[in-house]
Amino acid sequence: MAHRSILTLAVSPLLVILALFAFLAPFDAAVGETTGAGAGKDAAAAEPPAIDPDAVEALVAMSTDLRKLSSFSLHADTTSELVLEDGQKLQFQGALDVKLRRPDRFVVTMKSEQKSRDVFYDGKAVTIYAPQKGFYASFAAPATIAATIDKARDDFAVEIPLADLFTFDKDDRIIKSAKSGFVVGDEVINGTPCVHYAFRQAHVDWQIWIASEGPAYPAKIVITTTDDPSMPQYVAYLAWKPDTKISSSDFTFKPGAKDVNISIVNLAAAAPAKQ
Amino acid sequence: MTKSALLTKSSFIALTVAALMVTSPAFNFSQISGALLGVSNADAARVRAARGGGGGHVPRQNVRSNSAKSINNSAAHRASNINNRTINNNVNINKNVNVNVDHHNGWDNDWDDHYHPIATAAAVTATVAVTAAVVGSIVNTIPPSCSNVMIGNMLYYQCGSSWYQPQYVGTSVTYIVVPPPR
Repeated sequence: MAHRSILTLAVSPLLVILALFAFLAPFDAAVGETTGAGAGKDAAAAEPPAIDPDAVEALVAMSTDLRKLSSFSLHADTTSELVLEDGQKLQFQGALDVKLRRPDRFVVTMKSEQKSRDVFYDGKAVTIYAPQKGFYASFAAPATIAATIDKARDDFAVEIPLADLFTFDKDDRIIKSAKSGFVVGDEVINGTPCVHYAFRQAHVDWQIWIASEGPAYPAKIVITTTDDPSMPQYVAYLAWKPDTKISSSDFTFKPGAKDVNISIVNLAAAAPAKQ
Repeated sequence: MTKSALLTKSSFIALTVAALMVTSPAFNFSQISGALLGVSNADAARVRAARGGGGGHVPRQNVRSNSAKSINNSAAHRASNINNRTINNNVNINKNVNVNVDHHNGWDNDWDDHYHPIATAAAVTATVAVTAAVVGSIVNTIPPSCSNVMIGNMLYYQCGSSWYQPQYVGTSVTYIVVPPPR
């Protein structure tokens, strides 16, 4: 009895070491293989491929399916973040509702505790409305959604949230701008089986979760602003209603009795002449 | 008051509070405790305001950046241009209340729904000496005790000898100092 337990004590560390070796051996081999393959590729091409072709293909599939929609409604639950001067980050809950009809109508409703805005585009003008303040302002708009989004951003510093998803009728900027991208893996977002992708480009890192069954609509987007060391993030969970009938009057702003029309600063007009 | 009577009273209070906590969905403990402790309504209001319930919400610091809400269409990516170009002429007209909106992005301030001109005016007391504001400067809030005046179809705020007009810069409502319209 005493002998046996001494033997066990003496043998067990040996067993543990042997077991460890048995475990590690395949890992070693695997690491060796990966390194070898990577080195081979590096030798073949000057730079390793920054964007996984599967990730590009997924964006193309998403663009194709979104482009097919002549109209849609989209609801998004969002969080956005502010960075204070000392770098402290604050997060806010919000909701975004979009109704869009190609080629020249959209209405975007942004709601959050600190800031609520409606943006109407009726094919002729863009109107911004602050429901809590009762102020609205308009500017003349181009004939397409993409051109209008560009003008709003460049001339009036008005950012339409998630506009990347509305501009597929113009080009595939979302694909062309990415500097690197890869497939992260499968994930379920609010019950929808998705594939998770991660991309990097100037100013932002972004991640997208695209439905892996049915139309390739995105179910979640995360945009990380990398310009600020605190890296504020915007997170949106998306619920799509494809091909919804939207009445034309939904895209036109109708001021209430107490609403006041004010101006919006045209930054392009205020700027010195372009060189 | 006898000892037992005191005991009965305090247990009654405890029961009442407990019952209220259970039945009222919007139970506010500070109101009840304030009433029991003899705290005045004004004090209770001050406590609520200190907890952020009074509609103040003025940030202690300026905002230096916020999260881009689109990948390739973010106005934030153009922030430096915009800031240098146009609205760098703002003047801090009100040193006791930091109304200088022009934080690093200059054109955007997500706090701004809480800068209700009237509410802010009420919250900030009369220690503010308003000197004549420089025409063309842009601020996020206007000084206290302004009156709103419609002239033609335009809304103005008259604040002593200074006149302001609300205007959007990006999606933020700001106030620009204008020459007296009358």
